[in-house]
Amino acid sequence: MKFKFSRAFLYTILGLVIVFYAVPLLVIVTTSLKTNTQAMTKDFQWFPNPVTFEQFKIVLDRFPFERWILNSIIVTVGSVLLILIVSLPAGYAFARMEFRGKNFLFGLSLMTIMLPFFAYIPQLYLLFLQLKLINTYTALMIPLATSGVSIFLFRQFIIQIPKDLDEAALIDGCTNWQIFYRIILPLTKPAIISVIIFSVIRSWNSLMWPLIAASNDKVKTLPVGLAVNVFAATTGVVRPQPYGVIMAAALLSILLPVFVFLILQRYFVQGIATTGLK
Amino acid sequence: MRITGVKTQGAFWFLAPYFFLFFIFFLLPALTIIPMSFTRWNILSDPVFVGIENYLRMFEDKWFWKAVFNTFYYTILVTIQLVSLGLLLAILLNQPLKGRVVGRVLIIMPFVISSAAAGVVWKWMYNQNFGIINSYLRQLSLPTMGFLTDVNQAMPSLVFMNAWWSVGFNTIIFLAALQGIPEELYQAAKVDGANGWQIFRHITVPLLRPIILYATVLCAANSFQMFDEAYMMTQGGPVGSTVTLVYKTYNTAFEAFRFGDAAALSVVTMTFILIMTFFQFRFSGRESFESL
Repeated sequence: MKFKFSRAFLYTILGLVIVFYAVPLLVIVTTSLKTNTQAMTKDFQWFPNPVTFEQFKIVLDRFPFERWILNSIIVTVGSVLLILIVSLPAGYAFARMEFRGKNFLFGLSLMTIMLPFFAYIPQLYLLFLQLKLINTYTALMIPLATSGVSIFLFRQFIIQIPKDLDEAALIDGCTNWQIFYRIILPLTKPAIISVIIFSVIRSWNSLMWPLIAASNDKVKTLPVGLAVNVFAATTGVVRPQPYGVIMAAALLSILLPVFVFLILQRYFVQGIATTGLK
Repeated sequence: MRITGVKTQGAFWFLAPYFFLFFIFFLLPALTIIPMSFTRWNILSDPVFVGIENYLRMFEDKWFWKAVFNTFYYTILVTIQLVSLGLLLAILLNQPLKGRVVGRVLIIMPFVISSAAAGVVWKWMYNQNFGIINSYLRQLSLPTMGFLTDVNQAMPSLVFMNAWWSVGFNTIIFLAALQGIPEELYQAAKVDGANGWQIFRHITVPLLRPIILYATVLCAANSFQMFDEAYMMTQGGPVGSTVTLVYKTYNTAFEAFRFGDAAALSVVTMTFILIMTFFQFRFSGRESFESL
């Protein structure tokens, strides 16, 4: 009897949890399909009546939404490539090579994890201003690549790969570059997938730095467009849109990440789990 | 010896790409912000050296202390919430229940949703007149709540939104750790007559200790830099009740164009982070590092 009670209890809790995590998503969907009058009723109604796609049309007509999506894709792909290019070789060097000042340099790269760029953002802005890089894609990519998190993950991963293979290759006369490229890189795939997943999420969703460094519509990314132009978070600068339009824009902005997440769900879970465990 | 000799030569080129970015875009700005904090500067004219004036004004400003308080208040609340809720959800999802896959997908999904999208939907749900939460409170004849407009409720409301938005990460790392605990341990405890709470207290928690510590450190470090939620949902209001250090730095630099004052705020924020990092290493550093 006790067993049965606790099963029922667990199912109740699970049900409540599912409802709690589903409600905000359902609210986005249903609000975006309602007319303005129906969205602004005091009693929340779950079903749009009538169903209208007017709000989506307004979003795509009034805002360069496709441009924002394109910008977000460019910045995300670019920053992920940059992160991999700078941190894979460094992770390999810290895991496999012997050189003077190794621990010191590794410690320096760990400093970036403790001190993220939010901490010195005014000076970072001025630096990019002096380099004439404000309102460029480059400005949005670089700060994401200074974090040593991926170096740390790659080092931890490569250090566990048995040394027999690369030592044999070394005796056969392979250079370090060949060992890195031919032997280590293919074996590092799980860690690379984790790093790609995290970097994509971080880059696609980052708000504060693009807000500062990319105010121009030519390079504006999706979160900034949603926050500043559609939602008008900074009150008084632009007129806020009705909530139906805002939810339609929010829905359009999360479609791609949610879709990718649902397809690659298994890798997401593994990726997160690898960062938490060895 | 030959092997290490060969390996030493090429290291420079493996490290050069990263350290090029590191020196120019991390070390340079992180260090030069210190001299900047001794100037008055609106970036249109030249900076004027003013000594420690910015710091004196900052320490006399009650809104600065409010921001310090808010930052710690938020960090502590969010960390406690995300670690404990993450653990509870992981334990729930670790039970052999039908539908737990649906639960898992829904719990992690918000992790891929931007702060901008999460911010707008929660602002809408928290809305005093038309929001879904107040709509149900009204139907239950309860008083409506000014989640984001009440001085005392605004910060807890931002914290609560994170229970939806960012608990997924912790849930997954805890779940992975739980699945790593051998089933025999639980069986043995059950044979010895241990109840659910005793198993949780004496088996689960001690074995998860390193991962709990890791999640706590990570949560605290992330939430100390909170900006997005305040920017999206409250703009620091009402009456400065959700202004955090990073939000204040942003406002001072990019809304008021007082870069000297913003730099002083940055230096204080960095000092806080460094002090916390020091204590973390001093008291739990090795343990939390080994778990990484």
